[in-house]
Amino acid sequence: MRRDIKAWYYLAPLSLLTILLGLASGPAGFGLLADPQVMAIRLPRVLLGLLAGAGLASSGAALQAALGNPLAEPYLLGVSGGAAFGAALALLLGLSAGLGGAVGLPLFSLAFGLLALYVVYSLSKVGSRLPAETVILSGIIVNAFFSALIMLLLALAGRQLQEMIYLLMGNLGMIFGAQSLYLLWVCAAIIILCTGYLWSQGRNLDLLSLGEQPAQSLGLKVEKLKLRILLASALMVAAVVSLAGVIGFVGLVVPHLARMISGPKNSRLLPLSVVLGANLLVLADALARTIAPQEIPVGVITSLLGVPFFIYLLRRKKRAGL
Amino acid sequence: MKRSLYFISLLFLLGCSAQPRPHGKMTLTLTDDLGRTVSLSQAPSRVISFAPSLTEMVYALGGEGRLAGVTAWCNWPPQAKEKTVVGDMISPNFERMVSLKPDLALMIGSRPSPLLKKFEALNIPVLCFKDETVADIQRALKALGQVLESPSRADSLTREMDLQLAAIKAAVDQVPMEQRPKVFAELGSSPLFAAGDSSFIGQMIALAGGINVTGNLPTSYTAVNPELVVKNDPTIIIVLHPQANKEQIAQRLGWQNVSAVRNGRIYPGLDQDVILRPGPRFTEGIKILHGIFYAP
Repeated sequence: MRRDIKAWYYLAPLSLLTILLGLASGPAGFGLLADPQVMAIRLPRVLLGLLAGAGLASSGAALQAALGNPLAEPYLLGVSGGAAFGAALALLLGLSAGLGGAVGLPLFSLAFGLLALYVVYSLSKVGSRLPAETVILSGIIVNAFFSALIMLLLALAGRQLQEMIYLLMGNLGMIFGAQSLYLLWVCAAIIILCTGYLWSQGRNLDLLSLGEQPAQSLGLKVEKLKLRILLASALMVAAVVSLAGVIGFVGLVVPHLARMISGPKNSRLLPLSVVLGANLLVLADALARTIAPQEIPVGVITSLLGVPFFIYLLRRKKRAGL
Repeated sequence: MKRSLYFISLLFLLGCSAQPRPHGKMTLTLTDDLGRTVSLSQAPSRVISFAPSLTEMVYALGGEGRLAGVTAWCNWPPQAKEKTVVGDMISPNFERMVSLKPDLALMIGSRPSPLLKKFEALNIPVLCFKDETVADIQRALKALGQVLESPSRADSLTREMDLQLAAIKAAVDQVPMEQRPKVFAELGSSPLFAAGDSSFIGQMIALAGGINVTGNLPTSYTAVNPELVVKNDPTIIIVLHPQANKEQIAQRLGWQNVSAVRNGRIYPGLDQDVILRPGPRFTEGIKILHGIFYAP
């Protein structure tokens, strides 16, 4: 049997278990039949975890294929830097007061994320082409610029310093205002549509990973495809950052995890990445909520959980002679 | 005759020394809250304050004429905003500080900060005070009273504080523990920030006769899960940040059945500087909180 199909037999019940675990854990006590009011807090949080994990992992996988670089990740595009800056700016301007922080802040975040993408796109365009290395370089530069701006905001933050730090560390606990539910639906729509689009481009991405010239000569519209992949990834990342801050590790490593199981074929790799990413984030958040009454940044836990598992898979691969 | 001359001159000298002279000779040796021994050979005339609470104390003791520099956060009394700003503990503008030629720096904290070491290297005396409890505030006031040559004013201020605390304590002591309001103090809304009992606001709540529902948090201020509020069911929510209004708090997911929300006992728009600042106005803060907790 194909390895990735075998993996699905494990993953389906595991995903169900993860969601149940996510709904059952929290400082108000372990259990599914808890107060419905408590469930009203947990359910959106689990949903956000699923969406953010799926979005980050699938955009990471697609970018690695489109840019032909195993180190490509969603945060490379400069989008995360822009989105994080937008959120921090909204916080500093007190915009989070306007609509409970639930609308002003994510909108700012989304706007700056897309602005960053536009800058990266204009910087890396050479004629009508988008060479992968210039995309990566411009992404790094734009990120560095926004990092500097974020540092500036941190220096000016004063009272909001702690909140800003939580935002930049990544945290699924920001959505508990009534307005944030609408945003969650918007975010869900963006992530589902973009992930669906990326998955539909699986075969084209396979062609692209042969190299740009061969793919072009096989009739693939390389530049158009790359631009669309970038746009879909950027939209997802901006949506995730606007609601959950900057959660590390998932976008870079989950696609590699999935690739170890499914092999390099993108049409198999993408759905696997989505499910693994969603599982990892929900599990990490459930753990974060159980450890302590304080909110622990979920990005910390994803890395602590993900790295050992990654090392284990890598060693197994090495023994099998890659 | 000789003796009377001697007495007169002695009286004259005493009369002179009773005048606060900015550069009067004095040898004052103090031990600050870090256990450092600080000797001042003359009364300081160019003081830099690194905390809004300390700035308020200097003003309360009538020492504003000796205040050369303050932080960007020193906003009380209003005339403190006209003093030279030297940054703050996190982002100090060291050059501007040195250019003020200070002869004393006042800091807060329970550990020596890098800034403190810089001042020590320049042989500028530093007094560092803790600012975690009521006792800390009173001790700092008394020490500053000695330094700013107004010990009697410091004594009368601390006595006044004790009287007001005793009056509120007498009122609170009559209420049995189980009848006291359960209070949630919200310090930020994205993510939700709360205060443990070790924080200053935690102590303020207890002194004003409330029970802090997030009291058992291991740190003084931290982000918490909104589930905690549902679980602990506070009867009063005090909002100490400008980011959320009453409606938004009432509409939060899962908070509809929280007692404070059901009874509309959510209090935004409180003066954070009075309630959160461990300075000479803290008794006002306790009175405001007591008024909210025991509102008819």
